[in-house]
Order: sequence, then structure tokens, then C-alpha cells
Amino acid sequence: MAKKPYPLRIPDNLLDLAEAKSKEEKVDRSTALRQLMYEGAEQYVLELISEGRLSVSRGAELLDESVHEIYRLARKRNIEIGATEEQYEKGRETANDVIS
Amino acid sequence: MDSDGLIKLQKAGLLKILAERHDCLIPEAVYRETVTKGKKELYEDAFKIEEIVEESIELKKAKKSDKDRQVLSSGDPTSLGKGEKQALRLYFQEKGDAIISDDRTFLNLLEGNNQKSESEEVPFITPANAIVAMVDKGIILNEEAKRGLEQIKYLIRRNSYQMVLEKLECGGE
Repeated sequence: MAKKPYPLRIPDNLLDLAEAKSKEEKVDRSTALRQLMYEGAEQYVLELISEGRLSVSRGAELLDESVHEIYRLARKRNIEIGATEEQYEKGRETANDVIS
Repeated sequence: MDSDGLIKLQKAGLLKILAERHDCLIPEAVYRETVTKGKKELYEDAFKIEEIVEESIELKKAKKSDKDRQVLSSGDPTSLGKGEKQALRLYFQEKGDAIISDDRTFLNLLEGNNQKSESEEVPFITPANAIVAMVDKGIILNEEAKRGLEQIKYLIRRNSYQMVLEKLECGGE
């Protein structure tokens, strides 16, 4: 995915955290910061999917991941996704009519 | 079918059985999301879905229409991806019976549309609905259904899982 420069003031504590991560994972500090930002984005997208505010397909597009990866991440982070009980109830009659 | 319905039915081991008994259609975006991108990332399900699509599922180009625009306008279309939007287009284009999906956001939008009297209703089926209906119709055995449900246990809501399990324990509906 294309990257663009963006001016941003970063708090010292987050820079310290990025520094620690960069040493631990042997990457430069900018990469560590991007990784932290991406992990936050993943969590946010999964929460929106769980709340019914973003579809799995759109979430995958925004994270530049596959839908398979969205399921893997949701399971890893123990975030519930999928239709609600009410939606299940609404689909029941249609399933009985259509499936033969 | 959207990607969500396709992947969950495949994981449950029931996609092939369902596709062999019904005319199942998927749009190009769903194929790209599940097969093309999944294969690049070496997801086993992507390879299995590819085989089933080749044998039993029709891949179609979906064209925009006023009907799908009207349904999308009943909610926030920016919350949906290309896969769901094209699945909706294909439903109208091919005059489908229902859309199979387990995506809460997509189903929210369809529910919102279905509540409006002036809109054409879009019926939907969740993979869990399909599992129970397949048992009720004698297409699969109760044990097969329970095994399938177990495979998607972590991909559906706990309450939905529990509810379906209880129905299967009671022998179906």
C-alpha cells in the first residue's frame, strides 16, 4: 500500500515505547512506530466489525488484508464477529423456504 | 453469497453439499477476496473454495442497478466492501432467492431496507441458519451439523453458537 508523509506530534512516552520495541525487535524506530499504529488500527477495525459498523470485506480493504486474515485476527484477539441472535432468527424462515 | 458466507460454510464443511444442491452464485469481488487474495497468503480455505467454485458455484460479473442503489441508500454504503456490494447487485441481477452472509453490518443494512415498506425486501440466510435447515431437510445428519458448527465456533457469536447447538441437540428446529 502507498505511504504518504504526515506531520504528527508524538508524545515522549510513545516514542520511548517505540524505542523499546525497535531494540527488542531489531527494527528502526519509525518502523516500530508504524507497527504500533497498525496494531491499534487492527484493533479498531475489529471492534467496528464486531459492533456492526463496518463489514468484514470493508475492514479487510482498510487494513489491506484478506478476509481470512480478519477472522484469524478476531480469533487471536478474542473479538466476537458475525450475525446477531436476532439476525439469526430473521434468517431462519428464509433458510427453511430456500434450502431443499 | 458474500465472502463471509462462503468462508464460514467452507470451514463448516458444508459449502460443497449446499452448492451441489442449489444454484449458488458469487460475484467477482467475492472471488478475489476469498480465493485470489487468500491463496496469495496461503490460506488453505482459499484453495478449497477455488475447487468448489470451479465445480459447483457460478462466478458472475455483477452490474449496478437502481434496486441495489436504493438498498444501499437505506444505510451507510461506505461501511460495506466491494464483496458485499457486488453480492447485493448479483442478487437483484439474477433474481436470487436470498443472500447468504453472516456479516453483522451487511445484515444490518438489509434489515434496515426490509423494514421500509417502499423497498424491495432482500431475504438473507446466515451460515448457522443453513446448517440447521440442512438438518431439518435431512440433507445432512445431526452429527455432521454439530461437527460443522464446531468448526465455525470461533467465527460466530457465542450466543448464536449456543442457540444453534441447543437446536441441534433438540434434533433441529
